Amino acid sequence: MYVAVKGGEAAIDNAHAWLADRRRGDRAVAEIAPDQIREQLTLAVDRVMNEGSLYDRDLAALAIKQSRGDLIEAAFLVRAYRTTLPRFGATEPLDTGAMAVARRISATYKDLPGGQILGPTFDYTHRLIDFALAADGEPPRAPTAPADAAAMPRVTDLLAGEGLLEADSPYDPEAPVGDLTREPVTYPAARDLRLQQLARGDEGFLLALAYSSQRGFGSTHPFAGEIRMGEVELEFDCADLGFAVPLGSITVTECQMVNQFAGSADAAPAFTRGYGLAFGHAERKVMAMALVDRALRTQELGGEVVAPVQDQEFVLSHADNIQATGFVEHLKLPHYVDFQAELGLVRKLRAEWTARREARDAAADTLADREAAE
Amino acid sequence: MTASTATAAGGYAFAYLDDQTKRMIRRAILKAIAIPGHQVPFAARDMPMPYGWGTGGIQVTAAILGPADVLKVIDQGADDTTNAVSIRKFFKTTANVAVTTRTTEATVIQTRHRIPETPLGPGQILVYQVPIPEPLRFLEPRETETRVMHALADYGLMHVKLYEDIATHGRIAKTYAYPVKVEGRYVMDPSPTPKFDNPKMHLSPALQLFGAGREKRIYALPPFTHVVSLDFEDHPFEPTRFDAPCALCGATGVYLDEVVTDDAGGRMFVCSDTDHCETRRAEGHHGTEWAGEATEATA
Amino acid sequence: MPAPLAATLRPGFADPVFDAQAAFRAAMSALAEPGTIRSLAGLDHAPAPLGSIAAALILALADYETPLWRDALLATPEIDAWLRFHTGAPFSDAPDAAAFALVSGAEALGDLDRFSHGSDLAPEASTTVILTVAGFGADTGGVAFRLAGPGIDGTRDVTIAGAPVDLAERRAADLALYPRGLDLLLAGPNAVLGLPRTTRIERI
Repeated sequence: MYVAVKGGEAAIDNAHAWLADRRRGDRAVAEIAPDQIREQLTLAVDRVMNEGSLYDRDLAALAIKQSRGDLIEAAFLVRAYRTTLPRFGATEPLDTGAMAVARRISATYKDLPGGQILGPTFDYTHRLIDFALAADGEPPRAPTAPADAAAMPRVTDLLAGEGLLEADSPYDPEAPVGDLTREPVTYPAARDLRLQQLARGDEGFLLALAYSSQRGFGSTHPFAGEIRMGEVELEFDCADLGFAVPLGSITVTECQMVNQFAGSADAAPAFTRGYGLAFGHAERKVMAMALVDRALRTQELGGEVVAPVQDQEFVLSHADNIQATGFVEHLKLPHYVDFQAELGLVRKLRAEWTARREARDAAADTLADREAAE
Repeated sequence: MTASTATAAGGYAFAYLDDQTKRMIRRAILKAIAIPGHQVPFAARDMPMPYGWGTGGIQVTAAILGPADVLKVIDQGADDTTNAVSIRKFFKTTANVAVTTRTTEATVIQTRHRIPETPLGPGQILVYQVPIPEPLRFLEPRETETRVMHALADYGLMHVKLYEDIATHGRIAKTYAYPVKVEGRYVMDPSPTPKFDNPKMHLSPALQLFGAGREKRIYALPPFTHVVSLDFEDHPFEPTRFDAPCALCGATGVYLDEVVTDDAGGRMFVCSDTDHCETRRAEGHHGTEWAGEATEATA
Repeated sequence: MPAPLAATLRPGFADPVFDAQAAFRAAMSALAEPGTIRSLAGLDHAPAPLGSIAAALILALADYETPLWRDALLATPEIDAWLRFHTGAPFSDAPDAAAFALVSGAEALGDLDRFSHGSDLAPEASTTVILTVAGFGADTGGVAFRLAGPGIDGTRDVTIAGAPVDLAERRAADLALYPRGLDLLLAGPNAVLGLPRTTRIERI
């Protein structure tokens, strides 16, 4: 005999209470504060702002705390919050050439106007666990120097001056600003929408795609023309006032890949571009983004789409980790109704298969008996 | 226009979505109704629950819901599955809407994977949560291609697939998400409902709305729309049938879940539609395994 | 928004959330069950000659994403200012570029071909025409039609006053284009009636 189980609200409430308790961890250890996350786990905050598609360090830090450090979950929290925000319009394009640079490197020139600035990078650290960090103690302050007033033109501007690099697409201030959170993407998608999707896209996915192109699955022959990171001014053109109003500054990382291009029937040989831009310090993200951006331009540059990284529909529809994690994880939800339907079918097909097999064996036996008898 | 006068808990808008988002979804719903079975693209928003967990259905429900509605939410036919409980709570919190588990009392029923056993009536709205709205997706993954097939009403690929099934298995080996043709024009995915439920869609007096959030599509069946499961003359559509009645309420002709009762092959079959089963039990119908009513589990 | 205009502007919905929801539900039921008469609260103080039901429908459905076409009678500065303020919708002079068309009456409807019927790829990208009519029901002395199609159990008879007399013929031509097509919302004095592109219309 059987009593039907009723799940329900109490079970969910208890699960949430348990989750909150686990989040807090050992109560003998001081609780982490969002400002500590904001100041000390800055790269995690940057990633959450990028994939959450919202520049708000405090909110991202709080989301990281709430999500127990699960950065996709944190980005998801930020996204859902973002949905509810009113929208006032689009800012003026960022002038990254006027960036207050904290880091700037070019792999294509030994030296260049404005110089190479390593900045706060892991690049040349030896990846040895620093046990000193486990002990208390402040690190010494980094040495400082007066800012260099020299201009730091973008490498791509230098190259373009020589005519060796394809021109940037001209900026049309009247053109509508595409936004795939406001209109569903249709394929083929314009480059602005592609870049938006890549900027919101999962760093790991972009990294793997970029890597696949380097290994020959859709090679783009890239050079890291320039990577720069620092603060840029944001301006909002207020229609009622008739002029642009400064909103403050944000930190961004920009990567311009310069890619070899042998030319086509319509275009002379020149270098082409792949572009990456992300909130905060997100070098791996923007480099991968720039490689993927260039790969997605294969068709427009007269190439043939042969590899996943070049395939718009494949890349764009699978780049969003909030969508991906939701759909992968939805397999946790009950599917027993469909499973029941499949169970019935498989049982039936197996029974038929067995019956056919037995009939065949029986026929073979009869034949063998007859042959033996003859 | 000023901010909404109707805000719910936490300062969020009524039913969570802002006015502009609701208008955008509403426009998509109207066009979906006007073109039965056609997938209308819409700018699905990031919702506060995961993609794949009903965000499309939730956005449709949020866009249509008003203060006079009575909402029922089911998953696998059951009101008490965790995600159904969670979605019902979401609307209770954000829209302060009346909720029910009774199919007959509901004006809006959001569902995942089932159509209630109790026939729906005029004025009722059934909102389906849809994971993959494109019936041709697993035959042709590219949307650029499948859109053209729908535009041309070119469903040869689907017929070939179904015919191959018959050649290999002697039958169409599809037990859920079984494709239907709407008003002789569009091939449509009924969402992963078992094919047992397909006949209920045909000429239903209720309005049926389908929301796919991750895939950003809405489609619809107005009441009294012709919905025919794809088949062949010599291999007509066969809905699933069960050999035994529900072990709890004794109902026949309903969809049953298999419940494993021990590790020695013991199993029994009970109604997937919990409201239907409970109503029957309350009316005094009992199956062979019924042993009284349960209290709510807490873990 | 210039202040003097806003100050004299007639109001929109008293409750933007629930009034819009109610108007939408009326339109949805009207299109889901063509020929049924769905009453809704109109906006009585909408600037004339914009009808109160048409006004409620357009406020519920239009915004900055939906280009709006209106016939010459409805293109008054006062109506334009009111629509712009309450919907934010851009005006379109080309009817085939409009998501919504506001039509003051049968004589202003013109050739249906001038509105967008969408494409086979995107049949939803078609104009929704909000046509003001004199009323519904046998007591209006209007023209009787028999309707059939999705949303209708068999057939449904309806009498419409102020609809084009050749409505059946004009819609029959449209029906051949399906899934391309026009969707009509007929706005009566206090109700809406839907005629989506799927509805077959016969004059009786």
